[in-house]
Amino acid sequence: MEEKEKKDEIEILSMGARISHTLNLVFFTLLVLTGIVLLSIETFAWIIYPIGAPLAPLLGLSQDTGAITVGAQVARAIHRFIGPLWGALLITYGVYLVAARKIRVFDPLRKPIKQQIREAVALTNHYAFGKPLPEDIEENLDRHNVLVSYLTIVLVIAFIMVGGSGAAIIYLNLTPDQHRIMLLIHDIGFYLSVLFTLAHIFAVIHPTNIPLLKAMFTNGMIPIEWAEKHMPLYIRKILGRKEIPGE
Amino acid sequence: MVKMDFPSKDSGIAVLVNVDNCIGCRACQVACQEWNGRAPPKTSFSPTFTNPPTLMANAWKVVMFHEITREKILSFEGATVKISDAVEMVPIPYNCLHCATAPCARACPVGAIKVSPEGAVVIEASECIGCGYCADACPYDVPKRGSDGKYYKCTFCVDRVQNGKAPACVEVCPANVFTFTSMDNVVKLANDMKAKGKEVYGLDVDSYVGGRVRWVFALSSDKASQAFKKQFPEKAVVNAESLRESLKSISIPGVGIIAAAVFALGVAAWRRDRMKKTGSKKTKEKKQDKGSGGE
Repeated sequence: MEEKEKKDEIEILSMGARISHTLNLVFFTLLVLTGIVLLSIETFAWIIYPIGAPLAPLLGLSQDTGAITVGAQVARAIHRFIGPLWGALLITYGVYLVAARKIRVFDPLRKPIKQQIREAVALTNHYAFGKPLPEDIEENLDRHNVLVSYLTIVLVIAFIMVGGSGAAIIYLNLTPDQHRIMLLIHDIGFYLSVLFTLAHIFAVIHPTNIPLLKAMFTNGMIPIEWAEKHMPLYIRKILGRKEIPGE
Repeated sequence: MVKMDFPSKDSGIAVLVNVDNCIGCRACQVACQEWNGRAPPKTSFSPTFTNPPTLMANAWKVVMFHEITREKILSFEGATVKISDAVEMVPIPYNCLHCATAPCARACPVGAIKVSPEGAVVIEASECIGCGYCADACPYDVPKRGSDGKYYKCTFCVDRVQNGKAPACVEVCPANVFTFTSMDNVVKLANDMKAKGKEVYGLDVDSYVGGRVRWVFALSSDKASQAFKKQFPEKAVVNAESLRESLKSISIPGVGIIAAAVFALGVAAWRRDRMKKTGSKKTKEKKQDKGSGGE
């Protein structure tokens, strides 16, 4: 451990976290692409046209309208296969994280609510408009900041809505009224997950956070100098515990 | 690629159904099945004359029998007998109402539901993927899933209509229940009936279905108050579907705007970062220059 501390990099993302993130990225992208087609064919038919066009004549359908039908059916089949598969993986990984007490993303919520709001406003101004962070906030930034905690709550709600309604649509014999409600919940959950994704993309491609982005898609390591500036409380904690765990 | 064009609700074809004339013979029901080549559904017994009990994938037109009670006065050789709760059957020949802006067509994720220039709303079975979104969107419980997994409903006999003929059910009716004509004429005829005290359903309905349907029903007010209530929903709207549509219309441009804003903020952040780095580099260089000058 001591040898590790001496290095100028620390592991911030374990192999498991990186694999899980890559799977999430692939599955989420697939689900979004196949889902938006079913949500609004008049806007997104172009996504499935290249898939449907070569397949339609094989099924005896016209290349024009048949391409949309076949493409949408393929998209629907993928959506209904990937959704439950990803759901099962997420639940498994979630249970592991809870059981191994590895969830630290909600730690900032232990702070008093006034302090959380102050931190959230300061961070928003910092990231969006480049305003400097107040010293006391900067000194007490943890592994995750309060904005990350809030966004994770949005994501969890979105996943519960999308996953629960999706499973009900696929596996339960719903009445028409129940089916309609489930579709509505599925849509709302999807919109929330899109909001999360936009905020997440903004955060990770922000110049400040580039080391984290690199860590996620390479070896999970970040420069310790960067970590001391951007998550000083976390660094103080792990140095105090003499351990450098990846999450 | 998938575009939904609805003809104006004032143009195209329509049918006025004078329910008072209906004798419940079901000739229309049989003609529909025969013309469209649908196998007759197996008879099932239920506490009503209606058979089959609802529209089905093979039964696109069903005469719905509604039991109502109303006051009846029988006169016989100068004497009158008043029956306060006389039971009566009201047969309503029912099929897809062909909404002006059909929500089923709007909901179909593959554009398999076509709207003809005359206003007929038709499911193109070869394009249907069986998702059931049309059934979810319909406030009149019309599209039904067939044994092949696809959805089916009345086509307004579009094949006949486009060849100058009336729909099969209209042509076969022995009681002159149906008047098949242009929407203009149906509106006039229906308004005349309204003026004579009949109740009319279909001319002024919810905007969710386009404010009007192409099968307009007229019935004496005393019967309609009960029979129409049983047959048609109070509001021709599916709330969950309507909310989905509203959310969709806001969300798609909304996400685009938010994404553009996020992109702009990202670009600004990178610009600031670059300026900061350039600034600190210059300061370093100046310091170095001063240092070397001192030596």
